[in-house]
Amino acid sequence: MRRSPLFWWLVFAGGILLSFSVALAQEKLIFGYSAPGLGDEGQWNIQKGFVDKCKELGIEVIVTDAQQSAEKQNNDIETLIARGVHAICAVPHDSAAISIAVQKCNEAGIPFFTIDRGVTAGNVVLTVKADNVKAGAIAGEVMLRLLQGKYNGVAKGKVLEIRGQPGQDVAEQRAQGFHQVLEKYPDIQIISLPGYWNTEEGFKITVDTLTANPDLDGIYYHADLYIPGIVEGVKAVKGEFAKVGEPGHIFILGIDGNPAGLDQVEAKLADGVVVQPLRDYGALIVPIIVDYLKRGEEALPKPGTVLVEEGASWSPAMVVQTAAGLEIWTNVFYVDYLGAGDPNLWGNKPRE
Amino acid sequence: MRKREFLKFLLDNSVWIIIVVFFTLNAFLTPKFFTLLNFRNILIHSSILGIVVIGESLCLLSGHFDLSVESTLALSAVLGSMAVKNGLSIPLAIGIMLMSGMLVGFANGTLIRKLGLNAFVATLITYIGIRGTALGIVEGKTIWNLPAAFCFFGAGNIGILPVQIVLLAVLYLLFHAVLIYTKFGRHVYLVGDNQLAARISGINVDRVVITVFMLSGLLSAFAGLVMAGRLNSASPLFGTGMVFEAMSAAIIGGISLRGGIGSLFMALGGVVLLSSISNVLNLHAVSPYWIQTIRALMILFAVTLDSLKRRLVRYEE
Repeated sequence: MRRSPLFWWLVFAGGILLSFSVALAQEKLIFGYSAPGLGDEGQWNIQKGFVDKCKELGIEVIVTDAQQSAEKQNNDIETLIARGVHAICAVPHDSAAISIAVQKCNEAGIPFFTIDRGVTAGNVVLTVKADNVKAGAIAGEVMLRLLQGKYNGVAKGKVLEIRGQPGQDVAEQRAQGFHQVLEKYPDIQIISLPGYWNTEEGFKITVDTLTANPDLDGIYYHADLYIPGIVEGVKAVKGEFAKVGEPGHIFILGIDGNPAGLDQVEAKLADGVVVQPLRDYGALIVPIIVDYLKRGEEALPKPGTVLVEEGASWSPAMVVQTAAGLEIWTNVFYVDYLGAGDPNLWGNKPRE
Repeated sequence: MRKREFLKFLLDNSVWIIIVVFFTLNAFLTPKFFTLLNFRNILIHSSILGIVVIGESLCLLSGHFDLSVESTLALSAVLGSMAVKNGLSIPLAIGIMLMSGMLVGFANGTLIRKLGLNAFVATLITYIGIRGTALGIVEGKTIWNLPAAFCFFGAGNIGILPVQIVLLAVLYLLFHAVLIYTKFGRHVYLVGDNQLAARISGINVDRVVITVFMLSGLLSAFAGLVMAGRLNSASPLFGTGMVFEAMSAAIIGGISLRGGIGSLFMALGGVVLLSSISNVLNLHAVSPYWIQTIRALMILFAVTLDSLKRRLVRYEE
């Protein structure tokens, strides 16, 4: 039987369509990762965890570095949109300024995720971050215990809080948790000053506050990058540094758990640190992004549930619906000098 | 005549007079401000910025900007700290640091004088590129726990005096003398005042400008050594935003943005004033949300006083 030319055209077109679908099915996923600035240990590790998990799952990832510039981060994200990535994940440098780029991403139909910080406007599918309020509260409870130990069970004393950037959600939440615990005790005075995530500023604040308050009992810092400045600041004013357990020791504790921070805790220069699982944010969010691209909203965890994974440092993590959108708040925990050497902590893991 | 001389004295030393007023007020208003320990703190806080300001002032006096000072500081701190951590001797590490600064300065000067780039653009390129290089070398890692001998310039003491304060005084005296008493110093002022006239009068403008930038780079790199020692660590983020503080200090001290006018002694006044303002705000434990606004208002107050004084002098004349 002789086939009509139309039949053969249909077969040809079908073949081409089939090859396209096979090609599309096998197309490698490409994710964009927009870092706010890779100049500190924390951001470097968040990025590393994300890239490692992508590599493990065979996903190509394009990393951009905004170098602490909100404008550059917006440009970076626009470039990723133009590149046609399948999904974008960012750690916002400025939660408000990045909203413009998020909205452009929404218009382009590219799902947008964030780690560590939320955004002010625009549709973010999911944010993974540490429970910063809890981290601040843990630090507050430890400080309370230390003060009570010093003053025979009485909750009193004077504490310096070296904050991050005022107004930034992470800094605000770390302050909120700490204040929630200690403000119940009127005899504990908290002196709060902004360090703007700057080591030298931490040094200056320590020196000035110790000069004005020689009876300072403790220092709470929002990020480990302050530690070298705090230690040297105490030395500069007091002439020497009393380690943990030595007479005249000033209680020092904070949040992060980076290599420098853990080292100082192990060396008994600081009392302890609340560790957030920076390196494992990627391990948590990347599989969810992949699943979301396949199944859409169904792939997202439901608010109110608790995610648990045996042995994972982020576990247990709470799923929370906030005004900013769906968020996963990972576990945070406190380590003192006995636990600071644990090789499983992200700050003790080799960089490569 | 005497009145006019007095007014000239006031004008020439306006920033120091403002500092005297500021210190007197705070002696009564700020607890623990008027103590030897706190004066020592203010000078320690002033030292790193002060060293950077010497370099920035040289550039401004010659009629140029140097935006790369803070990146040069960070690169130097990172290079030196990596060198000592990798077993190089401390003198060699310091040599590498200072050399890196001079090279950045040489690049700046060459881009400006030989390629004809605007100083703002040329130093913006190095400002970005050099911090990027520091970042690339350590991949964001903070280097800490440096050898005590390496930290001497930042955290050591000579007798009862912190080395930082001694360095600040020595460097200001040295560069003040260079500017006032040497041919090179006079050439810097002349080039800044009128480049064309300087060239016609036989001054090698290229050589003066390139030397000025090399000195600026050298001083920034030295400030990197002091900061690494002071904080017993090094990070590619060191000095972030310092270029604006350095320029503000120089300008508050009366150094003209157009070049050729001003003195290092006054620029030092600008540095001490800025550091004192931050110190007072910390001593008062001002709310974290208002501290920047209050700092800006205090600077505005100081600059307004200076401006009023200048108007008064013009009126009297």
